[in-house]
Amino acid sequence: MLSVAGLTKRFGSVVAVDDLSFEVEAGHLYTLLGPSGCGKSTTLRSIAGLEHPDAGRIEVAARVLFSSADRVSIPAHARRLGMVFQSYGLWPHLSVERTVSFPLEVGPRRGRPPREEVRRRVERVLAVVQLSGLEDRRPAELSGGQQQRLALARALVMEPPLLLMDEPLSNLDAQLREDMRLEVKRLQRELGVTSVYVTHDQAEALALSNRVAVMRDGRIEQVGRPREIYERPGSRFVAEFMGNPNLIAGTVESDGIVATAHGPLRAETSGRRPGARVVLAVHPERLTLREAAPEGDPLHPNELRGTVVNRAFHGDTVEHVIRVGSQELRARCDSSTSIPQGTEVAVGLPPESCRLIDD
Amino acid sequence: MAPDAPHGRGAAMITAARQQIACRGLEALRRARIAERAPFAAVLVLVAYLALVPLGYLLWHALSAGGSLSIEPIRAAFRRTGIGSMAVSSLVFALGSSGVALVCGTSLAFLTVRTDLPLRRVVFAAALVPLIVPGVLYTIAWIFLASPRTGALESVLPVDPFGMTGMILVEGLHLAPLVLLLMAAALRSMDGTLEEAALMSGAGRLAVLRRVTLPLARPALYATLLVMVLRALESFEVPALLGIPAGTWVFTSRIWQALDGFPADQGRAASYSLPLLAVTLIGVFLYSRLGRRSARYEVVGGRGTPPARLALGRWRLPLAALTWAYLLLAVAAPLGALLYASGQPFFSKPTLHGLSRITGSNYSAIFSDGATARAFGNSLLLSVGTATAVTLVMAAVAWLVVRGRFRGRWLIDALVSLPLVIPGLVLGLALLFVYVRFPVPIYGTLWILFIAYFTRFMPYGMRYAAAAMHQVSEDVEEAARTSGATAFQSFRRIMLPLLLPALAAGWLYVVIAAMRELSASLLLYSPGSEVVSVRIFTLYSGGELTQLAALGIVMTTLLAALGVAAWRVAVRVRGWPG
Repeated sequence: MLSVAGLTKRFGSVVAVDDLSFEVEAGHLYTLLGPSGCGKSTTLRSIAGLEHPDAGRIEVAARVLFSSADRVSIPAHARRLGMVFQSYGLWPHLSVERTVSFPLEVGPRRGRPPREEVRRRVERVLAVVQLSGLEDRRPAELSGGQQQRLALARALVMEPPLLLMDEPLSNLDAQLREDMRLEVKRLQRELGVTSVYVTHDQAEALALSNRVAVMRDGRIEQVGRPREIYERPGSRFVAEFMGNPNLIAGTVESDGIVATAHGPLRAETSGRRPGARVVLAVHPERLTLREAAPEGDPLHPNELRGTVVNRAFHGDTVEHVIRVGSQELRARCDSSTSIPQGTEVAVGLPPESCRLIDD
Repeated sequence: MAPDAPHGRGAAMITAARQQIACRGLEALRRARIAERAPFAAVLVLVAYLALVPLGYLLWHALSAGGSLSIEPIRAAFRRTGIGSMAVSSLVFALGSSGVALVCGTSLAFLTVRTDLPLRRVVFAAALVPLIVPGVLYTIAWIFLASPRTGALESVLPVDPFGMTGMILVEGLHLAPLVLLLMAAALRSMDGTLEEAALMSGAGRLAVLRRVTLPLARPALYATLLVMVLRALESFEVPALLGIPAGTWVFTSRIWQALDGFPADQGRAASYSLPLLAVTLIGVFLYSRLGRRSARYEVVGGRGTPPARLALGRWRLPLAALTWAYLLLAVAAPLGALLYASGQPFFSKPTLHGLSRITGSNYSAIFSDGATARAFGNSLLLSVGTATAVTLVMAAVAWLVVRGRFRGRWLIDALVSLPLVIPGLVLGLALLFVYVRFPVPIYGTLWILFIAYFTRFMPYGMRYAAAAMHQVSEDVEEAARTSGATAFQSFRRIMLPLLLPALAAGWLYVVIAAMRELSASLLLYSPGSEVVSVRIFTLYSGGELTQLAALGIVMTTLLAALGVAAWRVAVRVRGWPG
């Protein structure tokens, strides 16, 4: 559906997007995830035609939008892609209705639908985003969530082959953001519109996407389904970016055993040779925690001794910070487990939850 | 009851003590309030005196005959001249010159801010130069350039500067840089996402311009147009120098004529002032309404992107040529004419041959001619003095208005802004009424000019100071207080350093504006208290054109230096007003 090949964009001496290639299947929501400055927005704006890449090829539904080799560059307004901007870009002088009908009124003259159809399509898309009845409002008279929906409606009304979304939820407060996250997902799945979504919020990426591409320095570090990215990060960068603080350096000792500063730990080594340098990663919610005095309470296999140094109640979970040797591990327990600061504990790292990353 | 008695007495004592403390507290509070209110009241009295008393005198003189209210003087004044034709030509002049300014200024703003015009920074800076040149000088430069027989461009540009067409063109070209400044700010602050969203919706570049950019710029355009119309209505130099010789009369030139004749007819001048004052009052009212309406245009959402520059493509060079032609005509030609004349022993039509006669005697005359040298001294003293006084007083007033918790703060704000509606000539006339028979000898000294300048420029000082204080959040001050700083310490060590750049920018603005002031000064100066702009005007009347040109060049250079300094300071102030 969307195919990007060899995309490169430099700003002066800075390479923002570095020989980037990826494909998006029809109907999928594909997320470009990464920290600020990783090139995700530049990639999206290049697809949109708002940025002029230095090299590469962009195709949507077999139509070449950009190709440096063939010297093709279709201007942004002729690409007919839908886009939702981070700051929405809602026109303060146009009502809801006029905003949504705008894309149907400005295309090439022969492609414009008759007035009756414009009205029907505007009505339909406003119903889809649940803005019916607000046709005469100005953007300033809408709530944050409604503004967001309006921006979506404007992008969807011309039924684009591809929808581009640039951090569309980052201007909303936390509760609304979660609601809109589900709303965007519902709309995208119901309409089946192929989408590229840019965000720096890993939770958003996991919740929405069919595929997530984690970007770093203008390149894709790893692509996969959300669960793959979360559970089997391919690099220390991806693991850290997905919010995993429990990374323990070590070397493979033998099949199924990793030597670490805290002693040997069991983990699936997947055929890595002894001596291979690895990072052992366990998500906080997978750690087990029990009180265990250094004398009298022997350790089970794959348990480490530590001391609770901090604890925070989150409502549904309790987060514990445990000092183990020179390292701090985090354990997220359900709210029935709450161990006071200073307590000696045994931290369990279940072997089936321990993932190895090549270091 | 007995066991209760001490208890009851105790309670009563406690209550009494509490009341006493409360009373003492209230008393302290009351005293603190008075202490706070005293400066507030003082400020209120000061600005009310400055803004209202002259207007009161003016109204009285215009609306009284033989000590009682009457509209007879007004009727007489207009029976003599006919209000109809004067109102029409005032309007034609104001709208015409605003139109010229708006077209030139907005085109330049768009080209320099939103396109890839070559050398756009240079074009922008050069186009602003006439803003610095005093109106009297710019007008005289155009007389040098275009007047029949002696004008340098007379054969190239066959437009008679005297009469309505010349007035409209010269005033329009002189106002254009102000439009450029206002519209450039509006275009620059536009959120580029709005245009990108239109592009993504399938609108081509022209459709984006027509359907998004232009409607968004419309509030700024209306506001700018209104400011220009008001400026042109108040303008004195162009109607006096280009209109009177051709018999084209507007309100300001009639006021001047009534006062310039012998004997001066101040009552008639006051009568002509009233309609002008009414129109400017309506204009400023409309302007404030416009400001409130444009709040509805406020852009929603968070951070946007700066707007993209339009690639001009094959129009790039033709448009560049057009802007350079404009700069040649509006900037280089008038300044060139002045520069040429300033080096000549006598005024004549510029020729290459004339360059062989070049002399520096006009420049040395600035210092050897007693009147000119004195005027220079007076101008410097007055503008620096006024700017300093306005900045200091208005900083305090702004602090009271922005941070104070008094009812009636709006009243101070309104009174301080009132002089904005008073044309310079009218203010001068009103101050004449007040101080001619004043018990303290103020008329005939520099003090009356100081009062006039202070009154005229206090709105600007207030704006700079208030804008700066709005930008320094209250938290900053409160953080200083909770860190243990006294009110004075927090003002001196936190507020003052934060406000200083904005106050300095405001100070420079007032220095420049005061140096250029002509219309009020012309009515209020007496022998010995001339200022440079008045000296230029009298040199022109006396036909000493080459000495005038040299004085003008020196003054423009000085103002340009001040202007560059003001710009430098202002750039360091985030979001500077205007």
